[in-house]
Amino acid sequence: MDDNEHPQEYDADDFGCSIFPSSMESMLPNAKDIYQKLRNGVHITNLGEGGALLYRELQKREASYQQLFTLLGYELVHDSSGFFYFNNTEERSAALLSATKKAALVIYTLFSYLEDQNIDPAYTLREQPIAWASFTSAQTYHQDLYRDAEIPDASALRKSINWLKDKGFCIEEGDNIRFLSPIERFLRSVENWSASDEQSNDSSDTDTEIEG
Amino acid sequence: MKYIHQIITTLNRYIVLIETIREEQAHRVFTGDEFNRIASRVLKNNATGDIFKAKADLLQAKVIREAPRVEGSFQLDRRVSRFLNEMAEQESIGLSGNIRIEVEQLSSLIAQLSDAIARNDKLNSDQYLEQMDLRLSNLQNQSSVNEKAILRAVEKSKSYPPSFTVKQRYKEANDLWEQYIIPMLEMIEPQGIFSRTLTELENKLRGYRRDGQLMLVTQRETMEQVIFRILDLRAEMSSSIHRSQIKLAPLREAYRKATRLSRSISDALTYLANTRFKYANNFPIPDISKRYSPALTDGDAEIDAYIAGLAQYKPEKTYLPDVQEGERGAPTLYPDVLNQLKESVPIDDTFQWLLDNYPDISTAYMLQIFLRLTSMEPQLASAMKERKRYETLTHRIDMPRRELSGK
Repeated sequence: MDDNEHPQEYDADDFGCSIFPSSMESMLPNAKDIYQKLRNGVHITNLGEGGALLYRELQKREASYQQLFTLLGYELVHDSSGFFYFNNTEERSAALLSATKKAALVIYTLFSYLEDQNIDPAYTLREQPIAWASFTSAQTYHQDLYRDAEIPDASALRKSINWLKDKGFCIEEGDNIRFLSPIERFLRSVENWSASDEQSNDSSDTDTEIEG
Repeated sequence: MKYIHQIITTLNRYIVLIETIREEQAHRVFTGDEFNRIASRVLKNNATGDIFKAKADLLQAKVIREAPRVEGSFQLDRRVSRFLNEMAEQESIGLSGNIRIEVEQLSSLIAQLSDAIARNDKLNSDQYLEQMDLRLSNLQNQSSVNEKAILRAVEKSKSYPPSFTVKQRYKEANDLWEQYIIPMLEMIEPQGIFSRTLTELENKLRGYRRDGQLMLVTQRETMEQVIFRILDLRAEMSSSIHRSQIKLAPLREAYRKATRLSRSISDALTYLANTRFKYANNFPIPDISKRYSPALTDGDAEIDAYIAGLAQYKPEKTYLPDVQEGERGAPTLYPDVLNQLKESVPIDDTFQWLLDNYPDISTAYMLQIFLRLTSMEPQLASAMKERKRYETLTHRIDMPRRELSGK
């Protein structure tokens, strides 16, 4: 109760030391690193190379960073599954689109391959290290799709995995690949996709003019 | 008794074998070869002598019999297979259809009973009442057996190793939900057949009792029993269904989620196969940020400059009124208020007293003090009076007047 005795004074204090103190550098020591990573589409998680340090700092100074990045014109998202990323608001370039599509293809085909092997796919993708052999098997399994997407061999597949690694979606543990929490973004987008697809089908049934 | 002893011992010894035969060859004649095949698979050490001995033992105890007219063929003894079927039913869940049939028969019994009573047919009405009692207790039994079966299924689903897919693990839970919980919920809702029949039966029986139409003492007793059973059953059935529902719901949700995800992914892959990779603009992917055009803050130096600029950032000065030393610089502390108040008890309007004496403190803080004075102070006694309206600096408060007096 004593805390509430003179609330006006506390308010003033709070305002004084809130977002931007004079000792900015000591407060946000890794700001540059974080900014560059996020801007390149990297997802910052608790795991991954050097991620823990950046993640902790982002988490600790989330309000400051939110404000800082909003001023710079970016939208910092703190996902509830435990990672930070920049929400892209601008139009995507063709190269980025293609790289993301390839990565999505790798993830979805792996999912369907694991499912056909009677392995719980969602659990494995989220929690388990996955052997490199599973990726190549999935590639053979869905050969046509991979060839169409210009991932004809193991080295092209490797490129896609490296792209995922660069963006903070997975890490490598020896011969295994372990997906990190940002993989949720892919799973969510495919889950929502089919839902919105059905909706658009429904609306096209009732109201064809919108489609036209 | 010797035969009973023999048959039970044989059943006990060969139960796995008999069970397999029942599952694979139920109500069917099977040849000696088929028997040998099953036996060599089921019996651990499949020496030919063992299989032969098993066949001889089973034949001698009449668990299997030679089939009529077909040489060298056998069938499971009818009594044994019926016994096994009934025992197996205890383990598996009764379908909601069975419960529906019981309820329907119950409702036809109601018609027969009122018929018999109208004809003053004591013997038949007695019989119908007893049948009702039997059916009700059957229903009770089934509901508890089903609940146990559901619990077992839930535990079984959870105890699978994680190498099984969610879909495999929770399929049974999902099936139980769709085939048992949903139809049962329909039946037990107020307009459902279950509730309607029970209500009708109860009303009829209460009517007969009131009119004195069932004169025999035994009839009256049975009727009371039936009424109590109805009451029990109604409560038990719905709570049992709801308990099962709670147990099954999370598993079903997990099942549906896994199914949805794998369906979406296979849809997405089909879409990709149909449209070609290059043109698949609708392929579901997350938005990923990438620096592709030079921004104002591009380059390594700019962000430093920006942050350096921020380092000199100063917030706008906020205006706080100057306070003269000694005027009202010190904050109002609760002990001070209490001391001052103690000098002037009894007080007939506590909040008004606070408003008069401390006009400057905020409403929230004043309410805190007020609360502490009226309800947490052991030395003071407070009494609640009529409602009154107070005006503080910022708020209008409508609350009962409180009197304070010392103890």
